[in-house]
Parts: sequence; structure tokens; C-alpha cells
Amino acid sequence: MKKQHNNKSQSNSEYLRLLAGYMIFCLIVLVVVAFLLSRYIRNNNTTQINNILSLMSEKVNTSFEMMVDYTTEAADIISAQKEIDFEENYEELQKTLRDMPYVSIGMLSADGTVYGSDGEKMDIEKQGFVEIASQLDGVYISEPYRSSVTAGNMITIFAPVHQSGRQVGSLFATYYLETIQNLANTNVLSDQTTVLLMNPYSGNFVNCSSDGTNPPGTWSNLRLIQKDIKCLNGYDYDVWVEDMKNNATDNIINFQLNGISYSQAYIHIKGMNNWQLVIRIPIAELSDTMQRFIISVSVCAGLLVLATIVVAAILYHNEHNKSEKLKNLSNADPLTKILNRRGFEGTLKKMFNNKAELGKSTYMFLDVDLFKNVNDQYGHEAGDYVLCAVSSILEETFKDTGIVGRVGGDEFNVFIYAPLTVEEIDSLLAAVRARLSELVLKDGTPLPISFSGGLARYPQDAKDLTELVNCADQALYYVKEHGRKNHFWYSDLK
Amino acid sequence: MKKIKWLKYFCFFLICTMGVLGGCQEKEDDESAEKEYYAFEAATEIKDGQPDVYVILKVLTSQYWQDIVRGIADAAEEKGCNVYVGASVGEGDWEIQKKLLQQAAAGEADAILMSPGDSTMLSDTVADLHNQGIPVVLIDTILNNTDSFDTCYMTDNLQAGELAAQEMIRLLRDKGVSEEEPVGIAIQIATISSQTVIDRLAGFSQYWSSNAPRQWTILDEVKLNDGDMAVAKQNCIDFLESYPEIKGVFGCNNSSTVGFVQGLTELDRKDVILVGFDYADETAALVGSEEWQASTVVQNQYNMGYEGMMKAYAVMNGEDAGYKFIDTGTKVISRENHIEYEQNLAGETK
Repeated sequence: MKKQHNNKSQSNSEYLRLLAGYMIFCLIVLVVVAFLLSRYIRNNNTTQINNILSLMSEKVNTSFEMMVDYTTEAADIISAQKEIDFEENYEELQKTLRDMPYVSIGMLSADGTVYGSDGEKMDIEKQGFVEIASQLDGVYISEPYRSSVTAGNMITIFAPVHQSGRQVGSLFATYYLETIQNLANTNVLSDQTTVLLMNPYSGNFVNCSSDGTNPPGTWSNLRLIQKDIKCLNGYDYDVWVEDMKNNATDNIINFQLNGISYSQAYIHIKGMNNWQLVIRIPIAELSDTMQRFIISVSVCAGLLVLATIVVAAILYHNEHNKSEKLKNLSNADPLTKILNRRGFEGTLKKMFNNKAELGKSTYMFLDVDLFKNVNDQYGHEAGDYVLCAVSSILEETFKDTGIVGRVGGDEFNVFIYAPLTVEEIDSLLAAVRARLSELVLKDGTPLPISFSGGLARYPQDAKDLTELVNCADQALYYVKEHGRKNHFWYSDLK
Repeated sequence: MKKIKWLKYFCFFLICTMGVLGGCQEKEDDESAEKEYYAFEAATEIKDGQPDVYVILKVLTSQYWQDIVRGIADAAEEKGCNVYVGASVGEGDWEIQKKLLQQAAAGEADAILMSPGDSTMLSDTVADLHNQGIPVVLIDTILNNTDSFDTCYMTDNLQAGELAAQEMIRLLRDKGVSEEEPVGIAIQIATISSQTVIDRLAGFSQYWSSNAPRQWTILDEVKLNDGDMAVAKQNCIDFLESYPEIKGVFGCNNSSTVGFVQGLTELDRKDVILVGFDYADETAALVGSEEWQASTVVQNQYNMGYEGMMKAYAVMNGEDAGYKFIDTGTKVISRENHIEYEQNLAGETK
């Protein structure tokens, strides 16, 4: 039994090793796939971001041109008038304020008169716009400045007003810087996109939206951040700034600033001297999304592997139980439920295959005396009853010390693997004999039974199983020859 | 109704008692340990029946802030207001300023004048008080992300930077530096966390890129000194040793300017032009000297205080606040006008 248990453990550990191997294999596959996917996404990510950036730049450019168009179209309408009355036009323009994206709109005549609010007049004078507006050669867009009226940061767009081919004044519209930022807003990455106005000559740049700390219109200078910029695509930041001066078209740069990777491109603004619109998207934002995707996929795959292992374990367990049952059926005696000849000999062979673990042991042949008479006298049912009784008494007696098998009609074999002494075994057999002598049929009829037994010891009497069986057989033969109802040791034959 | 009135009196008494006790505790703390902040103290003669104006400043130690307080006090005397002035010890200590704002509200301030130590963190508190109907006038620094204040009186630092660049170009031309001659300009600032100095740097760069000859360039390297004059002086020495093309230096704030003054003096580099900010004694000495070419940009801080107080009084009396942002202006003090400027300063002080 112990051996059987050992074999079962061996089979289980094999199964566990198989499972562990499977898990390790799955984990390795998962890690490799996640790594390859991550690398693929990282490479692809930059390309995608650059594509998004190009599209976004196009959108901002178009929207910004529309913003400029509002002003130039209004100026053109006024220029088409035969007689231009600045005051009257100013009043009319105020009516458009509600529907248009500008904050204020006004006019400037050639003599420097400003048609606008007092605050606008103050700003136009302070910023030196009167002189600039008097010599316009097309649209002019101011640098960002702080409005006296609202304290917000604005830009002003000027468009010339002509009469008879001569500039007689200009029309101006002021916009909050946030308006430019809003041009870049899309459903995708809307809160991560930054729009800047940048001047490559001065190195100044102005943010068009709040970054949480600084309001829109906060100025800064490249000299203060350039040393912290790390270029990622081999496109040097200095070169990029130089390209900006020359309006080079292929101008997407990837760089890292304060640990965050960005993709950035510029758009030339017509009318805004030396200033360019810069669109910036953090590359990490998309990467994070993809990283989350990879983690989700990995977790799902991991769970799938786990589920596979659980299902495999359940299937194995069921299969194992089934095969155990089948094995038991083929090795068991259907009447007494103990091992049959095949089961007994098979178990015994396995034990003797590993002799190193086998200690001093005893083999016993046991025949029920005159069993045929029981069958003849009391019927087969009684005979079966006797066989079952003998089996169960032997099983109980050698429960922890040996194995019992029914190897023929009334023949039983017992192999005692525990190192019991001759006296101990004699004593156990005496008890068996006593119990069998008191056997009673179901109807109360006493049916005293006796047995004959032959015993041989290993390794004292024999070196192997065949020899041992032979010795025990000789001892049994001796008992049968000398009146049955007894057991005899092979060693006593010598 | 009578019960409610008594309840009001009781609450008022309770608040006053807590305020007095709190004030006493503050004074004890101040005396026993290092000063945490400047608790409110009267800056004018306190008279019954006059409106109470609370002034909360970044610091009180330098001449710049004392000039602002003088401007406020002068305007308050003219209009008949009681002025209480409090301040934090560190310029960026907005939490102390928040505490002072709460004390001003508890003291039933009729108006608040404030120079925010942090343009973002104090926005909500100021907006709350302003929405409760207390006139709020900002001086020196504006608040971000809110327009819940009446007016801000401050220097347009971009334009101040442009003015400095204009003066640098003028001095280089006066000295006879050729437009073809390579010229390097070194810039030093206190810290990149101060928008004031960044605006000055940006204004300087903007004007320079549009108006300076091509060969005259600003160095890419900008040095920082964190307000430490010794560091600022060493920065000046390092600049001059590393860049032989330097012909002008620009200090974006007081510490940077004084550092340049000390460095140039130590190396006796009279060939280098200095343009700076503020009118520290060392700077004034160089500006007034016949041997050096130096100018400095000064702000109109007295006016910030004076005009701010006048606006607060007007809003208190129901007038419209008008513009949100008033540039109090800057001017360049050079060898040509420094005597006049010093006389004016002496006049204001009297």
C-alpha cells in the first residue's frame, strides 16, 4: 500500500512539473509577445503621433486663416463703400460682436484716430499700433500683449481699408489667445495638445492656453529650457529653430523635456512677422494608452492561461479517478473486493523490483480447509459468505502490515511487508484461526472454518520472489500432507 | 427680531475676542521666536469713522516695498482712510498671505490691496472675498485664472525688458561699436520661477531680435543666481572669462544687476556696458560714474501704491473700477538723468 501511495505521489509530482512547465512556457510567451508588441507600438506610435500632428497643424492653419479672414473680409466690405464713414462703420461693426469669435472690433483712420473703447485706445497707443497700422502692406497680426480692459492676453489682427487704391485706415479685431488654442481642439488628445506662438529670432514663445499654473499668454524663452531638451529623432533643436526661420516644410521634431517626450511642429502664420504657431503633443499620452492596452491584454492572456491550467487540472483529476477505478476493477476480486491474482502479483512484482526499499518480509499461502464440503453442504451462497469472511478477517488482521489477495477459489495469499517476527505472525494467525472457528451463517447455523497455511521469509529463506513463493508453497504442501488445520514455516522443513 | 440682533452682537463679540486673543498669541510668538510674518500694523493714523483698508504685501524689508507702502499711506491720508499693513516674510509664502486675507475679512475690511506671493494659489481666496463685495486692488503682481479683482497696478515687464534692450543698443552705439563688429550680450536672472524676470528677459530678447544689428547677439547661455549676490558676482566673472566677445551685460533683477556691478568692478572691465534693473546703491554708483557706461531700469513702485489706494477708495465709493490692468510704467536711469531721479526720490521721501 505504501508503495502504491508512493507511486501515486510520483505520478502527481510529474503532473505538477508538467503544469509548472506549461505555466513557465506561457509566461515566457506572454513576456516575449508583450515586449514585441510594446516595441512595435513604440515605433509605430511616433509615426502615428506625427501623422496626427500633421493633420492637427493643417486644421489649426485653416482655422487661423479663417480668423484672419473675418477681419480682412470686414475690411474689404468697408473698402467697397463709396464714402467711408469710420464712426458709422464702427457702430455697425459692434453689432457683429455677439456672433463672432473676436473680443472687440474697431477701426483706425489714417490720421491716427482710434474708433474703439477707451481701453482699446490706450492699448493701441501703448503697443505702438497706430504707426504700424498706418503703413500696412496686407494683414498684420500683433504680438501677444496684456489687455488693459480685461487683463487677459490677446492678439490683434489689423487689415487695411482702402479707398481709390489708397489706404485710408484699418480695421482691427482682438482675440483672446485661448481662441487659438481652441482651434486645435479635437476629440482626440484635445486636453494634451499645446499651442504656442514662437519667435525663432528672439527665442521667445507664448502659450495659448493655461498649463494649470501659468495663464494663457505667459511668455518664456528657449534659452531657459534649451539645455534640458533632449532630441529623440536625430533632429537637433537648434536646427529645428533655424528651419523655422526658413519655413522649412518637413518640420516635425521629437524631443524630451523634463522627462516627457513630445512631438512638435510649426506652422507659418501669414501677417505675424517672425512668429510661428507651434503645435505640441506629448508622445507619452498615446504610449500610455497603448501600454494600458498591452497590460490589459497580458492580464487577460494570463487569466486565460490560469483558466486553462485549472481546467486541465480538473480534467486530469477526473481522468485519474476514472483510470484508478478501472485499474481497481481489473485488479480486484469481484466477490471479496480484495486483490485478485493479477492485482496481487502485479503489486508484489513492483515491490520486488525495488528491493532496496524492501525489508524483512513474509509470504504466506492460505487455503480454506475442505471448502468444497461447505459448498456441497450449505450451498454456494454459504461458500461465498465464507470466502468474504476470510477476506475481511485477513484484511483487518494485516491492514497496516501487509497485502492480501484471493488467488484462486479458496486460496488466499498474504504478503507481510512489515518486519514482524515469527512469534508475532503466529500470534496473528492464531487470532485469525480463532475468529474463523466461530463463524456463523446468517440463519444462525454455526460454520466453523479452519485453514492451512505455508509461510516463507525473505530474505532468510529465498533471494527472490519466485523462490519465496516456491518455499511458501512447499510449507503449505507439508501442512496439507500432515492433517491441515495448521500453518507451517518453510524454515522448519529443513 | 430683537433676539436676532442680540445674536449678531454676540457673534461679533465672539469674533473680536478670538481675533484679539489670536493677535496676542501672534505677538508673543513673534517676540519669542523668529518672525513668521508681519501681522497687520497701522500705517496711518487710525481714526474712528474712516474706512479700514488692509494691505497684504509679499515682504516689507526692501526699499521697493517701503516705497509702495509710502504711496499707499499718502493716498490714504489724502482720502481719509485707515491703513493696516501686513506681509509674509518670504516672497512666495502664499499660505501666510491667505491667512492675512482671512484676518482682513474677519476685521471687516472696507477694501484690500494685495501683492500676491503666488499668482495661482491665491486666486480662489481673493475671488471669494471679491465676490462677497470687498473691493480688491492688486499691486505689483497679477492673479492668474481669475478676473475677480477690480484692477491690477503693475509694471509691464515685457515692455520694461524692451526698454532695457533699447538702452543697451543706444549705449553700444554711443560707444561707437560698429554694426559689423561681433558683440555678445550676457544675461543673468534670479530664477526661472519668477514670471517677472522671464518677462523682462523675453522683452529684451524680442526687442533685440528686431532692432539690433545681426552681428550683435545675445548669448545662448543664461545664468541663474537664486537672488544670491555672491553667486551673481561669480556668474559675471565666469561669463567674462568664457566669452571674450561680451560687450554688454543685462541683469534682469536687482540681485543680478548688483552681481554684474560687483563682478565688473572687481575685474575693472570698464569696456563692458551694464544695463540692469532697480536702483541699489552699488548700481547707482556705477550709473553715476563718468568712467563706466551703465544704465538701469526703475519701476514706479510709489505710484503703484498711490494709484492702487486711490482706486480702492473710488471702488469703495461705488465708482466703476474701469480697466483691469494698469501699467505703472518704467524708466531708464542713466548718467544723463540720475541726479534728477535721485532728487525726485528725495522729494518723495520727504
